[in-house]
Amino acid sequence: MLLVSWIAKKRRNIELLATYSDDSFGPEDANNVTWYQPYRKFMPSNQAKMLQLWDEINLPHKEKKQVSGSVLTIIGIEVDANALTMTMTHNSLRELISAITNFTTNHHRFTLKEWQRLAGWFNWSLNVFPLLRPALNNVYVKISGKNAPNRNVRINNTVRADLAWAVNHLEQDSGIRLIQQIHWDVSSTDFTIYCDACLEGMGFWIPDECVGFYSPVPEQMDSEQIFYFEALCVLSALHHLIETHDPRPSSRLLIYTDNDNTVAIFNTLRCLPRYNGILISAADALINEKLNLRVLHIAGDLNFVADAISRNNFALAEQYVPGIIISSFTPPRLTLGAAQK
Amino acid sequence: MVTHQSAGTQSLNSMIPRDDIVGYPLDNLRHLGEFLLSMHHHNPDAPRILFKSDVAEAYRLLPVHPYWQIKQVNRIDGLLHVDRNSAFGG
Repeated sequence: MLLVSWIAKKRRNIELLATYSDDSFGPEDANNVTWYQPYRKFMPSNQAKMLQLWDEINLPHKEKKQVSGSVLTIIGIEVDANALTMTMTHNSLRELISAITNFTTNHHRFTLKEWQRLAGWFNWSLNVFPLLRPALNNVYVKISGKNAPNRNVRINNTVRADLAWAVNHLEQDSGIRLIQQIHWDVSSTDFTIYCDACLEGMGFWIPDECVGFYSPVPEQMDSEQIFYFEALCVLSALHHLIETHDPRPSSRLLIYTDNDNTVAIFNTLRCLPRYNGILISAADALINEKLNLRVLHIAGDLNFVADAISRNNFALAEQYVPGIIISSFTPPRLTLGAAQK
Repeated sequence: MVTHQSAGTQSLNSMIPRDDIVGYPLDNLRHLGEFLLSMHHHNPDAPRILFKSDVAEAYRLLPVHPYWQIKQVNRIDGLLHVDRNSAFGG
């Protein structure tokens, strides 16, 4: 199917085409229709082009499986091409909640296959609930490297807590996601913050307001823990913005850091267990305040203001940004921290 | 006909090295979301439509490994037929 998709995209110019197993789907301009003779009807042009390709290579299809509409259910999720929403139906949402609840409350162990099934199911729901991804991080740790499908794997309190966290959010969710909140362009940012951490401390600053913030880190920090504090600094900046600015719902927040690891965990919401508390706290803040966050990379030598602040060198920061006002901040308290290894 | 592809210790499903298939990126709604936004960005007022197409009995079109084909020999009216394709789906 992938090869067929490749031909469809590259040779038949159906550029906007996605493939999931043997399902192919995509959008089309509603006015762009083509007469498809075998079914004797007008179809979206891209769909007609694709069926013609299938006919050419003798790939069979049936009329009732070739569907279209402004609202269409694709891999179980209702997509509205004009309202730009993705919706999980109420029933699907209830079923997912009940499957997770069953997993966290009824037994102490499940077979690897059952773990994989739940992880797969939950993973599918992330199409609509992308911010709940941290709930899978400890699940994957539990099942990674195991391959006997009927062997039992014990559930632990961390996994229970993470899944219960997800259920808590799912229960309050309408199941409707605006696509524009999931993907947005940096040019439409409302707030921009620069972060940095070093062995001495954490610092962030907001250029638009000419203010900076500093916090020391525990003295016994080793170089591996620096990653933790780079990420904690981003989380602190997020919380700081919420507390001081009370941003309106749908605000778009851009945070720069020179740490690749931090960029990766915030954008994928995948991380090792020791960072998961940071991601869960960030997801909570974003869900509760209805904010959109992107974390981007900035080259270290361009991040000199945040760097100076993090080194407690406020005089240097003042040289770079005359008039900058620097105060202290206290990072949010997390249940999982660098101290717990 | 029933085929249990996870039966036994050397079953078809269990002989696939898991590392070869996990993490294989299937397209998901992320791509579709990006497609819709790019169309919206380009022309916000133009009505859009979605289509979905499904191959008929896709799994029955997939040939299986010759070593597995010898396990898919069906006797029908005294004649032996080798089923060369995946047995499920449709």
